Formats: sequence, structure tokens, C-alpha cells
Amino acid sequence: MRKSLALFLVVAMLVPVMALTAGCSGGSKEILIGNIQDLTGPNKAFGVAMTNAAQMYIEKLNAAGGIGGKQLRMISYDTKSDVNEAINAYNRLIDQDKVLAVLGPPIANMGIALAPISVTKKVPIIGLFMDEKATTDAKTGQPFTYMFLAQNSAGTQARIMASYAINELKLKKFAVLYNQQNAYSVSLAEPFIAYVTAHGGTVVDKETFLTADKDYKTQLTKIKKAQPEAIYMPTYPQEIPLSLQQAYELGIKATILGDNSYIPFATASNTDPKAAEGVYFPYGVDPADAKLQQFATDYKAKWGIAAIAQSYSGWDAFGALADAIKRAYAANKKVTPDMVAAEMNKTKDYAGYQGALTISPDTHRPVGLPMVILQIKGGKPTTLTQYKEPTQ
Amino acid sequence: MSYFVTVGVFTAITIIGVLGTFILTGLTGLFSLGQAAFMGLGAYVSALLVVTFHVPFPLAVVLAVLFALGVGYFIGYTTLKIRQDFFALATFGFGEAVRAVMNESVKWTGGAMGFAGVPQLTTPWLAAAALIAAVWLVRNVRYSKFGRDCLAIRTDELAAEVMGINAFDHKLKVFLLGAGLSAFAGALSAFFTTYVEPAMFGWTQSAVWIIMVFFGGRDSLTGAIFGATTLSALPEVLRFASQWRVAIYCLIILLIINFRPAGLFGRWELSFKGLSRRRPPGAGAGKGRRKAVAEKGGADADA
Amino acid sequence: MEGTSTFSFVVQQMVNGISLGAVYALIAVGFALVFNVLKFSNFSHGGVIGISAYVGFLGALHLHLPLLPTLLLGTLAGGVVASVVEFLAFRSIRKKRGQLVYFFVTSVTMLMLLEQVLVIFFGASFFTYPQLIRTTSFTVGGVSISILYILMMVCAAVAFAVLAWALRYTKVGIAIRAASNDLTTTNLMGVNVDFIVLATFFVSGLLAGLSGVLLGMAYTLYPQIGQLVVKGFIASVLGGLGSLTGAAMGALALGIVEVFLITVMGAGLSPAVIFVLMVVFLLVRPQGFAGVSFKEKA
Repeated sequence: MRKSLALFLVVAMLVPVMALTAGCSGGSKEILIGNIQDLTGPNKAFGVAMTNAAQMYIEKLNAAGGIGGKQLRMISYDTKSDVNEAINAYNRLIDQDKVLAVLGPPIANMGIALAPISVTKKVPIIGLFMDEKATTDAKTGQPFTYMFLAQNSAGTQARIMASYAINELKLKKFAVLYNQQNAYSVSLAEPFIAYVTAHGGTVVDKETFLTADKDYKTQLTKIKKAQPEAIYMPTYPQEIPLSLQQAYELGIKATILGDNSYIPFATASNTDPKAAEGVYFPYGVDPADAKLQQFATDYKAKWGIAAIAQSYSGWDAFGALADAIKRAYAANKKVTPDMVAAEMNKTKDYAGYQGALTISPDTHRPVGLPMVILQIKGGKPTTLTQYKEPTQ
Repeated sequence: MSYFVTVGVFTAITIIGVLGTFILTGLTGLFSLGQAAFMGLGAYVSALLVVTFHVPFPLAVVLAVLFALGVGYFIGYTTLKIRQDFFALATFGFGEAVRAVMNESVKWTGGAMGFAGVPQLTTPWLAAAALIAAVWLVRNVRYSKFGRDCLAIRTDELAAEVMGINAFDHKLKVFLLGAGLSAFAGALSAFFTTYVEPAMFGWTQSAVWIIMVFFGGRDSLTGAIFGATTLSALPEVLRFASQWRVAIYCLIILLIINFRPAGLFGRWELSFKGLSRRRPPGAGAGKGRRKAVAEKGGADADA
Repeated sequence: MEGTSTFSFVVQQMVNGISLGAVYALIAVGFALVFNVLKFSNFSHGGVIGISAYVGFLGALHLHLPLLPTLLLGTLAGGVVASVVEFLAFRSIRKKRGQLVYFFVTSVTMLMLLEQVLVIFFGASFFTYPQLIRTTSFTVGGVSISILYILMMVCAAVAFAVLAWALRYTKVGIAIRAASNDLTTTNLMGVNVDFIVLATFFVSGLLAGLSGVLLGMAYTLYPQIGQLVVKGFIASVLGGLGSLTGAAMGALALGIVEVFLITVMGAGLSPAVIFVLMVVFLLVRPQGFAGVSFKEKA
């Protein structure tokens, strides 16, 4: 009996091994694309948006005959808001599922973590990881061969906001409030400060908070005392209503500058509408665009939830990838991950929802992609203008 | 490296980390919500030494473990004197403090963005060897005189002191051993995933390790290893949604604590001698009520 | 353009600190109550806070409840959930005279489980309460005071007063106090200990429910909202874990210390300083400010 129990345990440990080796498939009739997203966890909304958009693109493409007569199929793995899971998923997609390319997550840390691994795995990742460290190797200054960003980087977004504030709003004295434990927040705050100080502005106060903190009044009271003309608050969705509301309660009159998560979170129900009034922020797409509204309607009809920024940019990312595969196939009659990476570098003026997407072979990031500056007026985000990254 | 090997290495690293918790919780009844912080120290220090200071990998791992031991000595020396649940919370505070420092020292650690580009030097063979060494070490400590003394302290500290066992000294040694193991796991993990970030080492990670130990049984090394393997590799392979995974973990723990407080394995140990059970030298006290229960060591002698 | 004299800055920061302290006090007192009787740090308190915050939210959103009924609903929900937790998770450990470790592991596990229940039913993203209070703050001499925080302070004070009265003058209250001295003897004296422990959890759950709704309103609603219980714990350590007054005082002190640290050195390293402070208190003055010591559970 004891022996049988021990044997049972050994078998129990081996079962997963067999499950793994049995799960391989190798049909060459399909083109397999991997998808690494947070489908559960706090950032689920972003991952679901990208996955849904990519799925819509695939259905459209497959209905039109696929690529070179082959149908596309996407294999999605949930990263559960955990970087290790993302690494596991990427390895599994390549080693077990043999995918051609991977649609990457809109999470900076995951991009940063995957970048060095892509060097050895040699399967391209196209994603929305905004931090520049995900596409540029900090040691060499060269781009990672297999990493591609399909929206403006955090640096670009921050410079767009800073430049707009200095040049268009004629502001000079800034304060910054951001979450020190959040990569997204940090990756926006730092380039903003760098741009402002290099272009005649001053940062009179820089305050941070931690993810566990929910009350920023102490920091905001310090900021108020420093009397800035504007406060840049590149915070994460959950923190946006809090920081706006608390700044308002303290009677801060300075102009507030936000980030591309301010839709829809700046107008949350527990925030006094007056707290968000007049806030400026950049956004990847123009909500007033008619083309966008058609997509939003289709998206809502199909998935039952509203499209968010990552739905549009996710569509663009997948679209640019699909185009690269098409071009590679047309040129070579077959397609390998290396060909896809080579073609991604040649992405030029891909007509996406964000605008004409051109990927620079020098940075593997978009060049000249505009953002839209919005302002909350009467409780609604209102499009002001398109704005491009200022040439240095 | 195939996906299966990757999962295997991750699991081996998890087991080494869990062994740190196992030795602490199993031998002293204490448990630390800051155990993952030691893993973080091991990971960051070794990664920094190799990447920034070009120290050879093996030396960096040794230095990282020594560093964690140094910090552990300080933390253990100050917190081991207090009540056991306060100790858990003091270690919680310690863990959060370490994370705060990691986030704050952006210049060295990269802050919230994480520390990327660590070379992948943890080979599957290294992980396997490390695992075997760690299991061997823990097993020998667990069933040595020192280990039995520790169990005496866990059962009744006052009585043990009367018998001439220096409780504080023993606890400190065990705490250091646990810290060292976790730091070692951290170093291996940093050089395997190639990426480290402060968010990986929060108190929930420490709590998950405790859950793994309690799942298998805190008196059984086999149980702890089984717990770590099952609860870390199985969900990875099955890839079911994380929200259910955590909920199921929690339910398992509640059931185990209520119905089988000694864990699945009790005091049972797997012996390599013909896969037959051998009563481990230290478990003699566990003679249980009915034979069937005693066989799997179900009696929780010190409850 | 904005009143920024040093004086009003200092006063504003004091107000911020006291407001934060009031938030922590609500959590700490409920946390300390269970510690008082069962002598273990009950982290499931945080889970109860989370569940009640969501119950209140559902009431406000779907039943369009105004402020007071929402608070009442959340408070009651807290009491019920905490009782269920006691009955399902802690009772059998207590009956078996399980070790402290089991109580502790169970309480942390319950916290995680209740959080996961919220994640499963509501998703991991966050919600915001409908606006239940029209004006959110008022200004006195350049110092802004949030209405919600005033409400929290009032709630904390009222809850604390009622609790103090109940513990002193009601039969159940006296029994709880007796139980907090010695559970076994109380039982021998003919008091139904099961009932007393359940009552303790119920009352601490009421406090958790109240703080849950208030936290949800003041901040955003997310599954991990209950993790603020950690602040309640630290506050209890500072104030002395054996005492309710101590917990309340410790909470105020913690609020003020946090604000002070953020003002002087920024938010980044303040957890490190708080940790050192906590360890120093545990070592040097385990009885906290209040000076009430408690007996080790044998």
C-alpha cells in the first residue's frame, strides 16, 4: 500500500509531462500567430481589447482568403499580469506551438523582459509595450532585432504632452506626480521632466507615491505650495480619478496634464465633474474620427463591450504584422519569423486607426505618428488638435 | 530550451525557494511574510554584480547569498525575540521595506521598470544540481540533532530551554538558512528569466510559499516538494485562469487546516531506497492514534 | 493665486494626517477587537472590508440607495460575512485548540480567498461609487477639509463610543471582555464562548463593513481594497495590540507619521522607515502607546 501510494505520486507528477508532449500540432495549412496578453488580473481590460481586435482582424482576413491561401489562427496565452508568465508563454509559443510571430502585451515590463529573450528565440514580437527599453537595447543603443512597437512610445507621448504645454499652452512652471512603483507611470514622468528642463521650463516639484497609497493629498499639498502653473500626472487608470479628485478638493487651480489612460477614467462617477474639467491629455486615436466610430460599433456588436484605446492600437499592431507577413509571403512564397522581422522594418504608411504607421528600422518604433490632444470640456473629452513629436 | 524544460527549471527554483520557507516554518513554527524579499535580494545583488560590476557568475551568487545572510542576521537578530505572529508581521514590514528600497534606488536597480538583460546562465543542469544540493542540505538539517532540537523548541519553547537548548540561537540559525536558500533561489531565477522587478517579491509571493508548505505538510520534506511542484507546475501546464487558481489554493488550504492540519503528507517521507517508506530518524515521536493514521503520520504531535 | 503660507501648509498637512489617521482608525479598531479576544492578527478583516465595500456599491448603484442606507447595508454585510468566516474557518481550529500558526495562516488565506471571490465576480479592474455626497470638501482659511474624511472621523468616533459603551455595560460586552482575559475560564464560568466569539467577529465585521463602504467611496473600489488592513495592523502595533484605545491612537499617529515622512523625504522610502518604527515598537514597547499588556496565549 505504501509502495502504491509512492508510485501513485510519481505518476501524478509525470502526468503533466505527458500532457505537454502530447499537445504538439504541426499543421502547415495554417499560419499560427501567438498572442501574449493579460486575460485575467488587474490589466485584463487592455489584454482583452488587444485580443478581441486581433481576432476581428483575423476573421476579416480569413474571410478574404487568408494569406497565400492559408488561414490565420491565433494562439492566446494568459500572462495573468505576471512577467514570468509572459516569459513562459513566449517560450511555449515558440517551442511547442511553433508560431510565426507574436502579438505582444501592452505592458512595459513584459516588453522589457521579453526583449533579451527574443534575441535568442528569434521570433518577432509586435506589441504596445510603450517603454523604449523594450525596443532599444540599453547596452548597445541598437534596436532589438525582433521587437516592434506599434504605437507611440512613452517617451514620445511624454514629449508630445510637454511640448504642447510649453509651446501651445505657454506654460513654464511644472510639477509632476506619479506612481514610483509603476513602470508606465515612471516611463512617462522621466522623459517629460527631461524635455521640460531642456526646453526652458522648470520642474518646481516632483512627487511620487506607491501603488498601495490611495491618498495623495500630502504630495498634492506640497505641489500646491510650490505654485506650479501645470501638474503632469501620468498615473494608472485606478489612480486617475483619485489624483484628480484630491487635487480638486485641495483647491489646486493649476492646469492638469494627463496621459493616454485618461479616457475614460478621468470622468469616473466618484469624481466631481469639476475636478476633471479643463484637463489636457494626449491620446493615440481621435475619438471624433468617423472611421473609428464604425469600428467601435462593430466591436461593441461583436464583443458586447466598448472598444478602448488598445482595441484600436491593437488592431493597428496586428494589421501591420499581417501586412508584413503578406509582403514576406509575396516575395518568398514562404514565410519565416526572420522574414517577418525584416518586413516589419519596412512598414511604411500602414493606414491604421492611429494614423499612418511607419516603423523606423533604427528604433523599431513608429516615426512621425501623431497623437491627438484632448481636453475635457463640459465633462466630455473634446478633440483639440493633432500633434506630432517635436523635432529636437 | 524546450518549454517543458523551462517549466522544470522554474519549478526547481520554486522548490528551492519553498525549502527556505519549509525549513523556517517546519523547524520553528515561525513564518515569514518577507521570505520573498530575500529572494529579491539574492536576485538583485547577483544580477547587479554580474551585469554592472562584471563579477563572475558563481562568485556573484555566493556574494548575493552572503549579502542576504548579512541582512538576514540583522533582521533575525532584531525580530526573532518577539511573538510569532508579530514576527510574521515584522517580516512583512521588512519585505515591503526591501521593495521600497528596490523601487527607490532607480540608478542601480532600474526601479519599477525592472532590471533586464541579465545573461541566462542558469542552465537546466545547474538548476537540477542546485535543487539536489538544497534538498540534501535541508534533509540533513531537518533530521539532525539540531533539527530535533528545533522541533523541541517549536513544540514547547520553555521546556526546550529548560533542557538546555538555546532557542533564540537555534531560531536565528534556521532563519539564516531559510534566508540563504531563498536568496539562492532568487539568484538562480534572475539568471534564468533574465529579468527582475520589485513587484515579483511582494508578500503575496511569501504567502504562496507558505501555502505550498502547508499543502504538502510542514513536517514532511517530500510533502513540501510535492506541494511546490504541484501548485506551481500544474497550473502552468493546465494554464487555467489565475483567479480560479488562487481561489482553489485558498480553499485547499482552508480544508487542509481544518481537516488535516499536518498537510497531505503529514510526516511521511519518500525514501529512495526502493521507493519504500522509511521512518525518518526524527519522526519517532509521531506515534499516532490509530495505525492507519499513524502510517501517514497524520497525528499532529504538537497541536 | 493660491493661499500657500507656511502656516496654512502645515495646518493642511496636519489635516491630511488626521484624515488619513481616521481612515486607519476605523480599520484598526475592528482588527484590534478580534485580537483582543482570540489573540491572533486577523487578516481576514481585510477580506470582509472588501466584500462589504462591493455590497454597498451594488446597493448604491442598482437600488439607488442614498448615503445612510448604503452605509447601513455595507455595515450589516460586514457583520454577516465576518460571522460566516468565523463559523467556517476559525471555529474548528479553536475547538481543536489549534496553534496560533493555523489561525494566522487561515486568516491570511481568507483574505486572499475573499479577494479572489471579488475578482471572480467583478473582475480585477476597478469601479467607482456613484456620487453619494454632493459637495466633497470645504475650505477654512485656505485649508481644505474633505467631507468624506469628516464623515469617516464621525463614524470612527461614533463606532468607537458605541463599542466602548457596549463592552462596558452590555452583557455580551462584559462577556467579550471576560473572554479577552481568558477564554477557558470564561467558558468554565458558564458563558457560551462560541456565541461570544461569534459576537466579537460580528461586531468587528460591522466595523469592517463600515470602513469598507467609506473606503470605497473615498477611494476607488478594487478587489485588493482590503489590503489596507495592513495599515490597521501597523496602527495596532504602534498603539498596543491589546487595546482598542491604543489602536485608535496608533492609527492617528500612523496617519500623521506617514504625512510627515512624505512631506520630509517623499513617499518612496517611507515604508522602510515605518518598518523600522514598527520593529522598534515591537521590541522596545510591545505594549504600544496605550501601555496595555496582554497575556501570551498558552
